[in-house]
Order: sequence, then structure tokens, then C-alpha cells
Amino acid sequence: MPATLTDGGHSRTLSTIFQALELPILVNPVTLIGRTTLNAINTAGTLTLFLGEALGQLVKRPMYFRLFLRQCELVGVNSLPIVLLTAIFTGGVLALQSFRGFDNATIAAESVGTVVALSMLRELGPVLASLMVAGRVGASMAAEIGTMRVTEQIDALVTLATNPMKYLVLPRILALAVMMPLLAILANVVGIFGGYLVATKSLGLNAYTYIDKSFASVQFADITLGLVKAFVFGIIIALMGCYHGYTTRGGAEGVGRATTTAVVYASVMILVTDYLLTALMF
Amino acid sequence: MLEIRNLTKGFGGRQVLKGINLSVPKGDSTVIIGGSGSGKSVLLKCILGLLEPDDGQVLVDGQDTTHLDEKTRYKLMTRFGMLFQNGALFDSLSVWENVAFGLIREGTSESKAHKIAVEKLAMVGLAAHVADQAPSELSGGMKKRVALARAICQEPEIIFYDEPTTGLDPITSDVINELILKLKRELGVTSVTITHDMTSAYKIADHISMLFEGQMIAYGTVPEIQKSDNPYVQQFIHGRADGPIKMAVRAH
Ligand SMILES: Nc1ncnc2c1ncn2[C@@H]1O[C@H](COP(=O)(O)OP(=O)(O)OP(=O)(O)O)[C@@H](O)[C@H]1O
Ligand SMILES: [Mg+2]
Repeated sequence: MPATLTDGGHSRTLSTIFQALELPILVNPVTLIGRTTLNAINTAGTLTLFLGEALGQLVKRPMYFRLFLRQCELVGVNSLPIVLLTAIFTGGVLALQSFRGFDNATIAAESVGTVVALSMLRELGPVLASLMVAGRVGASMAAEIGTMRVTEQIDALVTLATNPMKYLVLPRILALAVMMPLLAILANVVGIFGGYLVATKSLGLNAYTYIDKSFASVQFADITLGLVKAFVFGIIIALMGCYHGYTTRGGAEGVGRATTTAVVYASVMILVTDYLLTALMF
Repeated sequence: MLEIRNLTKGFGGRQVLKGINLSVPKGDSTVIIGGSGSGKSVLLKCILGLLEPDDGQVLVDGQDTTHLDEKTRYKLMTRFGMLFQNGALFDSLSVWENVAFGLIREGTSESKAHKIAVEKLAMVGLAAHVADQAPSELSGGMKKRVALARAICQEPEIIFYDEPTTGLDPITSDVINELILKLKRELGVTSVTITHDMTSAYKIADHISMLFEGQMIAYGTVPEIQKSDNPYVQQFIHGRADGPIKMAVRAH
């Protein structure tokens, strides 16, 4: 890949798709489908190149290990409160909702734990944690890198012989790829605990049966599925935040736009990818 | 040393640079003057490869740099220093970390880098206590000087100064002029400076080149430019509103 120091190669095709989607009535449907497909392929290509360029820096010296640790702290540690808060209430509400679905108290006692554990591990732990992180971290990445773009700080990095892909983008992608599964694990644990609290304290289910049945129903594959998801979602969040920040144009307004776009697209992509991964690994 | 051949650059169909030719000999200080918005900063960014020129060549030591691979390009960057018009300081780092950025990246120890940063700050007339402040706490002129200290910190061979004295008081401006001259004298720095400050231009320039409507319309030594019979140059260096260069303002 030729080394362009400009961001010229990464066109803003994602927005073009959405623009195209907003005027469907006047356009021939075949044209619309064709154009949307082309744009989608184009975008996927651009993002893949961007990701590839960043990951390509992995093999080149110097390594900015400290930046990676700093990002781990920023995205991982600082996201803990919001992620855990979301998880504990999700677990609790899952227990409440699934209990309502069983008209027989004995079956409920045996099944609520299973429902909570499987839903958290396979689905809600990683997805909700990722959505929270997308809103928090994805947005701040886009805003920070976008501001650096419009104030020429990224250009300044280049003139100081520092590759911004390596200095800014790679540590963020790696940090999220590592931290997102860890956050998901904690979210799972806390979510299941939330479910347990509600089931035993509020619904009066037998604690022993609850725990026993929960453990019995969970398989190793359920845990890995959730962690694979979290890993992929982490990369999606960082990629969206960095890409939209990196390609920001035009002042404060541009930074605002980049931030919104990063969060919206990251969230949509998380949900779509969630479906695809579940279907693939069911 | 540095040669620009037929360089063109446009934005969305509007040509900003229409075939620039300029050659900067080794150790020379070339000053580019020209109206606001005439494309001076764009020219510097094209030379540095921060913007991709539409056409033309930028030769450093006779070698075209417009299509370099990543590794060679970043290696070339270590020979360049750039002072951005708006400073472009890293706002997540302290002043000294900004100044010593390149040093730290090259593996210089923190204590040594800090010491060098303080020295460079002194060279641009900033006290040592500024080193530990954040860029956001500084005045405009101080930011500019920190950016200058960062640009010269690793003693690059070729330095680009985009308006080094804009926003500075006359005395500080002269300190900066002296610094630019000193770097040239003592380290043999080759430089390209953009400025609107004619006092500064006359003081630091070996050659002056004037950019107008996308082309270099004049080139010469300071006395040659001062004596030029080109009416555009005369109007510009004397800062007259009347003349062949028409500003897009409507008189009431
Ligand atoms: N990234 C960009 N996208 C689109 N147009 C640009 C971009 N950068 C510069 N321009 C345009 O190019 C022209 C030249 O800009 P440039 O910043 O080089 O001016 P300048 O000569 O440095 O002016 P000044 O003396 O005010 O700094 C301007 O009209 C500007 O609008
Ligand atoms: Mg300028």
C-alpha cells in the first residue's frame, strides 16, 4: 500500500449509503439496491484497508506499549462503573421478566437461573456492555482524534516522523480488543449476580436450585460465544471511533458530526454483527 | 537541495497552486510572501507530503519525494522541521513533552529530554516554568513559540516556518528573527519561511519569492525585490490598498 500521509484515501462512503437510503421514492429500486450494494462494498473495503493499515503497524518498531496501557485504563477501567451498573439491572430485569413467563413456581425456580445465565453470557452481557462502551469510548475517540485532525495535530505528528496510525489508532484498537472481552466477563458475572439477587430476595426462589440449575445449563461454548462477540465488538467500536475521527473535515461542526456518526454506526454494526455471529456460531 | 517543479494543487475544482517552481539551495533562507489565502500554507503542506499534490515534483537532494513508501517518507521527515501556522501543539501533552516529542520518540531519557526542552524554550524566550504547563494555559504568542521550539528541537536540516512572528510583539519578533538567523549560521539550516511581516522578511531572507494567483511571480534577493519594478510586488511589500492587486471588498 502506498504511504499517503493524507486521509484522502478513506472516502466517507458510509454517509453516502445513508444519503442514498433517504431518497428511495424518486429512485428506481433496482438502481437503489445496486448503488447501496456498491457503496456497502466500497465502505467495507475502505474500513478494511484502514484496519489493515493500523494492524500492519504491529510488526514495525517502535512499539508504543505505554500508549496501549494508557488506553486500556481509559477504555477499560473507566468504563467499569457504567458497564457494571447496566449489567446488574439487566440481570435483575431478566429474572423478573422470565419469572412472569412461567406459570408454575417449581419450573420457574429451575428455569429462571438458566434464562438469566444464558441470556447474559451469550447475548446481553457482551452486547449491552459494548453499546455502553460505544457511547462512551467510541464517541470520545472520534472527538479526540477528530479534534487532532482539524487542529493539524495529526499533521504535526507526521512532521515529527511519527505515524499517526501507529501512535493514535493502533493502541486504541488493541486496547478495545483486549478490554472489551474483560468488561464482558465482568458484566456477565455481575448480571448473573443481579439476577440471583432478584430471584432469591424478591421472587423468593430457592437459592440452591437457582445456582445449581444455572451452572448445569451453561456450556463452555456459551461463554466463548460471548467473548468472541465482545472481542469483535471492541474492534468495531475502536475502528468506528478512530476512522470517523481520522477522516474528520471542517472545524467543530465536523468533530460533532464525526462523534455522532461513530456512535451510531458502531451501535448498528454491533447489532448486525451480533446477529451474524450468533447465526454462524449457534 | 530542495526543488519544487511545476507543482499544482486544487480543492474541489478550484486551483490553488497552478504550477509552482521554486528552488532553495542548501543553507539558503527563502521567504515566501503573498496575499492571505493565496496558498502559501498549502504549498508547504504539499512539500511535506501532508497534502498530496495533484501534479508536479518535490525534489530533496535531487530525489522526488512525492511517491515515497511509508518507511522512506517517515525517515525523510526526521530531516524536516515544521512550524505550523496555528501551532498544532498536542493538547494532551505538557509544553515540555510537546517540545521534546521527537526526542522521547527516539528513546531519549525523560530527564535528558526535559533538560533539552527547557533549553529550547529558553531559545524562544520562554521561562523554564512554562515547561510544565499545558498548552491550553498559554497565550497565542507563547503557543507559537512553543511550536517553534518543537520544530527546531531535533536540529533538523530543513525547517519550514509558517508565519513565525505573527502575533508576537516587535521585540519578541526580533528574538525569533535572530534565532532563525542563528540556526542558519551555526547549523547551516536550510529554511522556507512564510511571513507577512516585511521587517522580518528583509532580516532573515536570502531570497524572497512572491506567490500570486497560484504562481510565483517574483524571485530575488532582498535588494532585488525591494527594487523590483513589478507593480504587484511593489504594492505588496509596501502594503498599499491601491494597485494592481484588487481585494475582494466593495468600497462604500
Ligand atoms: N484542506 C483544504 N480543503 C479545501 N480548501 C483548502 C484546504 N486548505 C486550504 N484550502 C484553500 O486553499 C487556499 C489557500 O489556503 P492557505 O492556507 O494556503 O492560504 P495562505 O496563503 O497560507 O493564507 P494565510 O496567509 O492567510 O495563512 C484557501 O483559499 C483555502 O480556502
Ligand atoms: Mg497560511
